[in-house]
This record gives sequence, C-alpha cells and structure tokens, in this order.
Amino acid sequence: MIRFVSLRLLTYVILAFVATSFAYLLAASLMHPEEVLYPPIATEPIPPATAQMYLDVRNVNPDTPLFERYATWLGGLIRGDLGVTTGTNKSMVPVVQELATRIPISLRLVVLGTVLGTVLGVLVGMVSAVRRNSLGDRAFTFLAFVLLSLPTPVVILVVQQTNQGVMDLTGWGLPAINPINPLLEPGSWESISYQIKALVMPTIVLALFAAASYSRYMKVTTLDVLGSDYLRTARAKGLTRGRAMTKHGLRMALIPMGQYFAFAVGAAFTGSLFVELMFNWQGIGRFAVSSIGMADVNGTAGVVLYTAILTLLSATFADFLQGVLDPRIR
Amino acid sequence: MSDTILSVRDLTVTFPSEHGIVRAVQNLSYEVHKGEALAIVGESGSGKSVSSLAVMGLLPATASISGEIELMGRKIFTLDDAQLSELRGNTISMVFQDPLSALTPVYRVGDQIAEVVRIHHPERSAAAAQARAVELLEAVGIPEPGRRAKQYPHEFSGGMRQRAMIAMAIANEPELIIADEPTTALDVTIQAQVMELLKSAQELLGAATVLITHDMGVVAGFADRVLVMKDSRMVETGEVDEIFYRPRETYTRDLLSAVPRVDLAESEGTASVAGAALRKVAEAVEAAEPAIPREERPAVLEVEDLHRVYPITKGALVRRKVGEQRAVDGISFDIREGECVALVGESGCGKTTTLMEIMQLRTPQQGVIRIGGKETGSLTRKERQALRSDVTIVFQDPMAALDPRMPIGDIIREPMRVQGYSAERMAERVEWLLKTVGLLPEHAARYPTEFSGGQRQRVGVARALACDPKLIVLDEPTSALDVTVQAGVLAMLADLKTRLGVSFLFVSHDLSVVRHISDRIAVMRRGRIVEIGATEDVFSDPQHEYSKELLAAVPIPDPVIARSRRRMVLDRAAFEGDASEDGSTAA
Amino acid sequence: MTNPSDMRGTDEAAQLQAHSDPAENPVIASVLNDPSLSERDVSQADARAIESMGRGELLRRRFLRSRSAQVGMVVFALLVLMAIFAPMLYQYGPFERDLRNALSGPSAYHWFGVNERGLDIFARTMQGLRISLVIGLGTAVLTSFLSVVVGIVAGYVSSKGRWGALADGALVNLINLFLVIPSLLLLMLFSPVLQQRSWLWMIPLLALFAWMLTARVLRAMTQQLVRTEYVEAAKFMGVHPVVTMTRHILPNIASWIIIDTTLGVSGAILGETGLSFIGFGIQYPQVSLGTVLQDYNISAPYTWIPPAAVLAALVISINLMGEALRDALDPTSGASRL
Repeated sequence: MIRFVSLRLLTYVILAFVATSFAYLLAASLMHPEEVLYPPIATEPIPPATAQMYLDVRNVNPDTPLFERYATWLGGLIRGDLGVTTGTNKSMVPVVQELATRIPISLRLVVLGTVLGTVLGVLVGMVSAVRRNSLGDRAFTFLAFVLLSLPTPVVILVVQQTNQGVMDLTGWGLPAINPINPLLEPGSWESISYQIKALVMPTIVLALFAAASYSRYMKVTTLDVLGSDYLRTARAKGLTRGRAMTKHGLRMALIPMGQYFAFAVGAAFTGSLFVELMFNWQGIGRFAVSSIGMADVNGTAGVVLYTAILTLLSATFADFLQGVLDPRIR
Repeated sequence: MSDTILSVRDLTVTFPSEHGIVRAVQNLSYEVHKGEALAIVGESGSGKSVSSLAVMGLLPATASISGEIELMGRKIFTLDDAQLSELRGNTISMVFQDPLSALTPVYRVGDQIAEVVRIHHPERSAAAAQARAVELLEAVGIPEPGRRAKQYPHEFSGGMRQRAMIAMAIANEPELIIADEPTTALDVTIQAQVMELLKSAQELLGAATVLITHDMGVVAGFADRVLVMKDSRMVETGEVDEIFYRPRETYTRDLLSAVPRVDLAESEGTASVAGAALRKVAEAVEAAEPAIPREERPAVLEVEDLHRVYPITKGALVRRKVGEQRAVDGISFDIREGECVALVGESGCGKTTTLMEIMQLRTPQQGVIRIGGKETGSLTRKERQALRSDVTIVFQDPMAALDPRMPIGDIIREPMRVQGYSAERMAERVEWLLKTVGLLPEHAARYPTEFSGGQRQRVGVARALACDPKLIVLDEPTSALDVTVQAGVLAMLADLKTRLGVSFLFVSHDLSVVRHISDRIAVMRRGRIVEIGATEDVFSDPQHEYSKELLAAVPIPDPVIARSRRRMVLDRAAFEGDASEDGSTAA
Repeated sequence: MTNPSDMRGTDEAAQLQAHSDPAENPVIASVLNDPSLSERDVSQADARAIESMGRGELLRRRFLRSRSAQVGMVVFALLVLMAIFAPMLYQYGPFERDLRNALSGPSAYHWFGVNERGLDIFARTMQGLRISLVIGLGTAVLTSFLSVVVGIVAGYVSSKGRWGALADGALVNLINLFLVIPSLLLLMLFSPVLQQRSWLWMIPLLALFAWMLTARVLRAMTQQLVRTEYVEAAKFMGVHPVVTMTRHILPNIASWIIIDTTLGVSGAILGETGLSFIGFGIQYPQVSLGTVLQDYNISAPYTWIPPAAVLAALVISINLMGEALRDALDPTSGASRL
C-alpha cells in the first residue's frame, strides 16, 4: 500500500511541476509588466539604464529570451526563492513572503467551510438515498439543485443581503467586510470574537456549496449500494436494515467518493476566490486576481505553484483514503 | 408425519413498473417438511427467486405481497424487521447465486462468517466466533482454513467463495436453508462438489432445504420433491420420481424433454422423460452423416501447434516481466467440411482465446492456422477481407451481440454490405435468412429490444449465415438461454448443419449440449487438448483422467442414476468442533 | 460460394426438413408459433433492456411527461423570447445614461431601476441575457464536438495495441494536467488578450477548458462499448474502424452527448458569469449578466436581484431539462435490497 501511494505521489509531483512551469511560461509570454515604464502609465520618460535594471531585478525583461528567464526562475525555485512581485504597482515584495502572509488567511477561511460541507453532504446524501422520495429527500435534492445552479457571487450576495436585512431589522448582524477589525486591540476577546463572527458567513457559503455537490455524489453511490447483493446477504444473516447499512453499506459507498475528494481542492480554491473578493479577505485568491490584473508574472506563478501543491496533497490523501477503505486496491 | 417447517399459502407478489403491474408470483402454495429437500424449478421470469425472497422477508419495499407464509408456526407477515432479523441467519438462512458480489469485498471472509455467529450469539467472544469461523471453513472443505479466513473475497476462487457462503448459512444450524441458483455461476466440476456439499449439509443438519434452479440435472441429484413454476404460477408439484418419470402437465413434459442429457446413448431405455426432444435432434444429426468419410473431405479449418502466451508484468512506471500465462499451450485439431467440432472445457482452459486467435485472421504467436487451405499468416489485405465472410461468429450473450440501435434487417445486411453485395441480392437474402432461422421476414424493421433472448440468438445466427460461410464459430451460443429456448436453437443449428452443410466450431462448457450436436469433441484443459475424438467414443469411453472427471461431474436428469452417485462430503468432525489433527478434508 | 455439401433442393433435403418441422417437433414449434412479437409478455430482463437502451420515442415520451422538463422548457422559451424581443421594449438603451435618476429603484420608466452610473438595469439585464445565451449555446456545441471526437477516438484506440495505448495515455495525462491547474486562472490569463479582438472569443476559450471532463467520460463509455460483442462482431466482419465508430458507437452514446450538451450550456453560462464578475470575462463596453452583477450594491438590492433572478431562472431551467433527460434515459429504479 505504501508503494501504491508513493508511486501515485511521484506522478503528482511531476504533474505539479509541469503545471507550474507551464503556467510560468504562459504568464511570462502573455503578460507585459514592462508597460509600467511606458506611457500611458508612466507620466515621465525613464532613462533606459534604469528601465533595464528595473526589469532585470524582477526578471521580466522582454529582451531576455523567455527560456533564460524561465531558467532563472527555476533556479530560484530550487533554492526556495520565487522571485519578487512584478506588478504594475511597482511594488517589489518577495513572492514567498506574500504567500506566507496570505496562505494562513486563505486556509483559515477555506478549511472549516469545506470540511463542514463535506461531512454534511455525505450525511445528507446517504439519508436522502435511504429515504428516497420522502419529503426530506425531495427538499434536500431541490435545495442542492438550486444551489448548484447559482454562481458563487450570487449566493454570496444572497447571504450578505440577508445579513443586511437582519441588521436593518434587529440591529444585530455579522461583519460583512474585513476579517479583522483594526479598531479593536489585537489579541483581546473582542478582537477574537469579531474574527470568529467574520468567519461565519464565508463558512456558510463554502459549506453550502460543498454540501450540495457531495450530497449528490453520495446519493448516487449509496443508491448503488442499496441495490447491491452484499447488502442483501448482510440482511440474510440477520442484520437489521440500519445495522446492515452502517456496517456494510457505508464503507462501500464511501469508496467511489474518494476520487471526488481529490478535485475538492480545485473547487475550493475557485470558491474561495469569490469569497475573498466579496468579503474583503486578503488571501491567496485575492492575490491571484490582483496579480493577473497587474501583470505580476512571478506572483501568478507562485499562486499556481500553491494550488498545484494543494491539489497534489489532496489527491495523495484521497488515494490513501481509498487504499484504507478498499483492500482490493492494495 | 414429519412436521412442517415452512408453509406457503396463496402467495402473490406484484411490483409496480413502467409497463404496469408486473405479477411476479401468483397464488403459490407449497409446504416443506423437516429434513425434506424441495426443488423449485422454472425458466427465467417464472417467479421462483421472488417467492423465496418473500419467505426471507427480503423483498424491496415497492413490492405488494398477499397470502400467508408460516415458518415453524410463526406468521412471517406479522413480524417486524427486528423479529425477522432474529430468524434470518439463525432459523432460516440463504445461499445466493453469485458469491463474488454476495460477499462484502472490504471485509475478510473469516470476519464475515464470524459475524453471523455473533449476531445470534452475542454472548460469545470475538475470539470464539473467529475460531468457529475457521472450524466452519474446514468443515466445508477449504484447505488451510486458518490462513484463508484472513483473506478477502476477491482472493478466493468461485467455488471456494460458494463454500464460504454455505459455511455462513449452516453456522447457526438453521431449520430451513434456501439456496437460490447456488451453482449457476460455477464450472461443472466445482458445481458437482458444491451440490454434494449442500446435500451433505442438509443431511447432517436434518434441515429442510429449498433449492431454486433451472437445471433439471441438479434437481434429480438433490431433491425429494419438485415444484415446477411457469410465468409466476405453479404448474405441477410432486415427488421427484413422479415428476421425472410420469409428469402430468404438458409444460413439465416439454421442459423435461428439452433438457440435454450427457448420457444420450444409455438414456434410450430409461424411464426418465428428460431429453426426449433433444434425442430426436441428435438422431437427425446422426442420420445426416455425409456419405464421404471424414478423411476424404477437404479441411475447412486446420490448427497446428497453436500457442498464445500472455506476459505477466509488474511495476507501474517500468514494467518488467515476472512470469507468463500460457493461455493456449500448443493445440492442434482440424475441422472438415460439414462437420461439427466441439471444444469443451471449464473456464480458463483457453477455448475462448483459441476462438479469438482463429477469428483474428493474423499470424499467431506460434503455430499455424489454415482456413480453407490458406495460411492466415500469409494473407494479403484483400484476401483477409474476403476470408471474413468465410468464417463468422455467433456470440454467447444475445443481449449484447446485436447493436440495439439497428433494426435486425440492417444487422443482417452489415456483413453483406462489407462484401459488396448488390441491394437486391441483400434484400433477397435477408428474407431467406430470416425464414431459415425461424423468424418472420416482416419483422426485419424491428429493433433487437423487441425480441426475446432466443429470437435474438437466431438473428445472430442469421447474421453469421449472411455470406454463406464455410465455418461458423459458436461461442457458448445457448448458455444464456432458457432450457426450452435452448432446445429450439439447437434444433435449428442441427437443421442448418444438415441442410446447408456448414461446418461448426462449437465452444461450450456444457457437455450435455454438445453431446447432441457435435460429431467430434476436443476436451481442453489449461491451454492443452487432453483428448480428441468422435463424440460417441469420447463420451462412452473417455481415455484421459480429466475427461473422466468432467463427465462424472455432469448432472444427469434421472433421479435413480443421480441417487446412486451420492456421497457425504461434509467434514463432520470439524463441523462439530472436534480439533482433529488429521483435518480430513472432503473433495 | 456454394458448399458441395449444400443439399438444398434435393430429396434428402425434403426428408431432413421434416425432422425440424414444427409439426413433428413441438419444441421448435413452441418458439416459432409466436402470435405477435410486440404483445409478448416481455421478461424482466428484456424490460430492463428496453428501458436502459432508450429508443428515441420512449425517451421523448418520458421526457415530455416529466414535470420538471415542462417547467424548464417553458421558462427557457420565455427567456429566449424576452432576449429576442426585449430591445423593442427598451425605454432606455443599455448604454444610455440617465444620471439624474442614478441609483433609484424600479419605476415606470426604469422597470428594474437604475444603477450608480445611471444605466438602466432592465436594458442591461436583457442585453446581458442575450450575450450569455449566445456564449452558453456556442460553448456547449463546440465543447460537445471536441469532446466527442477526442473521447471516442481515444476510447477506441486505447485497445488497439501499443501505439493506441500510448496515444491514449498521453491524452489522459494531458487532461489530468489541465485539471491540476485551476482553469479559472488560465482563463483569467487568456481572456483579456483575446477579448481585444472580439467578445466571441470567449466561446472557444471556455470550450477549451470544458471539453476535457466530458472527453474523459466519453472515453470511458467508448472503452466499455468497444468490449461489447456487437462491436467485436463488426471487427470480425471486416467493418472499417471509422464506420464502426460512426455507426455503432456514436448512436449508442448519443443520448449521453445530448444530456451533456444541455448541461454544458448552463455550465458555460455559470463559468462566464463568474469570470465577468471579477472583470476577466466579457469586457467593457459589452455587457453580460456577469458584468451587470458587478455593479452590485448591498444597500440597493434592486441593483443585483433582478439580473441574479434572470440568471437563476436561465440556469435552473436548462438544468431542469438536462436532469429530466438524464432521468428519461436511465430511470434507475433503485431497487433497494434493504
């Protein structure tokens, strides 16, 4: 089993590397951060020597061949240095530093909501399948269907609007923007409780989406299990419906779900992007949008590396989970 | 009078479906007494499985059930799930058909057997239950039971899995055992072993048993009483000798007479009705022997020293060869004009691989294949294309052999289109072909889904005949069909052989079927032909050990003969928990 | 190619014919004397076969009977009609500014209200609806075409020896690669560049990232079909591979392709909306439902609720139709053994 997982891990590492390189090459060829040196952005002419130094320091000089720039970047990558941000805002922050500040914020936001949503989704899906066509099943199926038909921004708007409505009515509401209240003393009870309250709405949004997707998958796999022969044998042995389902059915239904967990990361990242934008969290998603908007080559590559590693980790975890659940694979 | 263990009165089961109400069982009544073996027989759709699931209380919630079922005096329909669960696995247990899907793949076999003990005897410790599971595995004849108990179902072979299921069923010494087609998915020799085991278990426990099957040969060897079902109703019931020797209803008689018998020659004088219809077919085939002796007829197919080896590789990135699987290990045979040669063997013997090698029309890995004198290795593209019409194939599964999106007229036309026939010629032939196989030409515009299994198989044969082939290869053409339908298809094939002079290569695992239609028979085992010769010779006087074993394992639909072959194979000592050192294992 | 042993027309033939005569052998008769094929009581297995094969009429009948399909079709038709005829109803065009009434609620002149920049929300919503519809339909069709070609060829070729397996493996890895990088990022990278030429470039761009998922599914289905007996029979009959793919494989997965195309429309619309919302989709001055949503203002709900409602109605109606199609094709009775 160790061999099975480590082999897949190797494949993922290669894939992650290829993906990041691909992204870097794309970004470097499509984006033009040097435009900041020319009109209409630059208001005064800049001496060519300064311009060249400006571009070289950031490794975005269009005169340097693409592969040389790539090689420099790659060399930095091996050393753990992802270069500096090269956006049109002229800031020059080491990318690793930016990522280091932003990743914890993003993770804090995403992990809770996704985990909650997954567990909820699995439970709802299973119950839905067992009590097929009951009122609960139909209600949940309808709800999931509507949720998945709405784009993330709309769901966020609904949540925020509801919050606003409640606040107008009762004067009490959750903080809609800014995860941290700068006016409160950091570390104080008020500051922490504010942060917790600020986490509620984004978590709800992410949990809703995760629950909606997973409940659908889980319903299908559970229905398959319900019609299976081994469940019938379990009943023939004398297990009641409930016990047969929990002991034999649940594990078998979770096995095919494993592959969906691997792509959970991609979806969570996309979802978090909107959440960060609209709730004004300074996380990786926000950074991704601004990087691309400002022609920040290194920043973009850094973000892709982050997502690639995250995907890698979740895919490995999913494989590991499948190996644990299903002895046929080992 | 022995007491009644199970009493079913006026049972009716219906299901809602898109096509209206489906009546699965109608007004079924029967009784099973202590120590008695009842066999419920019928073809597909007769309702036999549904009736037994009703007894167990395992029908889906959508089913509407009426009538009465009494198990040891308790009315099943008045009990709730918890009470029924107490009975299941304890007083009444069931053995299902497909042991691979019937065992949970993620739990060890030993744990699953121990589970049934612990459910009904929660006072026993886990260790005690485990030990009991190992004892039971030994009792049913699984070697190295301690090691095997720790394995998963996919590591067991089909026969072993079924033994494990039987072990689960007898663990708590039930009063009633229901076996639903327990050997349908197994090879003939394994089938014989498992049926012997089941019978031994029944005798040892003194349990009442209900055996559900479509195989009359198995019934003859197992049952005391028989109940015949057709289209959800009971047709006839009685003692096994009565049914086989003096059936009263027409359907029972037709059903029995359509059963193929492996002991064709000896069956002439027996009292059993079984096999009468097919005997006529066999006689027709024999009477139609061509005047020219075999050796002087041209050879349609010649196979010389054919080999097909598959390498077994390990490793994901770099694959290295760790062994090889000799699917076909040097076989040679030939088929003359107008002859039917049967290739028989159990699963994994290489007969299907041989078929595929022949049909590929390419150079074999090793050896020579000649069709109509031409070597397949030295064919030009054009020659190969032309040869495709000379050798055609009929598949096993009638449901999957025809494209569901094409009307059968087009299906039959397809090979002719490839060969470039003109439109008029094709239309003519389609009509003639449909009539020849016993279908109406007006139905050429219908789709396969509108036909039954037997009719689809006939369409498959028509397609194979489309371009006047020299050789038709048949891959288990009747295995997926009901007995009466099978007889019809066999009769049609016999007729085609005698009238059109087409040669057949008939691949099957069912010796009884090939007995009636083949001229020569080759027995395959592990990629080799262990015996080859004229059918009557091989069947009446088999030379090779394996052929003898194979023939001995085929069930004979004649109760007197079957009873004489019985023996006890359950390891009594192991079952009763004596730690015997010699661990006498059964067959 | 007549066989010398062929005895048709001879006396012996007539004699042998008698042996297999229905009158003589009742067993053959029982099968031949089928009164009418269609009235025959179909066995369970055959009934199931009919359901899962889904012939055209059966599918259509089931689809039309489903209530969700009816609702979906009606709503979708209404929206399409609105998109086509709305410009005739405009009181203010989508680009006309009415700064005096900026940020005001629904009124007689502005049915949905006016946003911060003085633009009429109703007009913008309708304009956005048209563009979103075009993008959705165009992307879905292009995606289906791409995924069908690649998926079927890959599935068929994967079983054909070493080169086939290699080609197939390369394709699978390519698909995996694209799944590792969030497509959103790549779309954000490419979109502004292409938009400079025309907004229609959104269609191939979105299609480029959407075809992969479907191609994987179609490849798996094709592989399954290639193993069926009737495709093997075609091979043994000498049918050309391309003919096999078009005549045998394609019709049998056609139903899934239709379902996927339908759901692809809604998927494309959602994707485009998300992109436009963060500014990387449809660029100014063009309008899509996503760009309309960009001007949201929580204190003025009318700025975002109408376009969101229209968007929701559009996507939900399409999804209802897609789901109804899927149910019509594969009504898993979900026979519970519990």
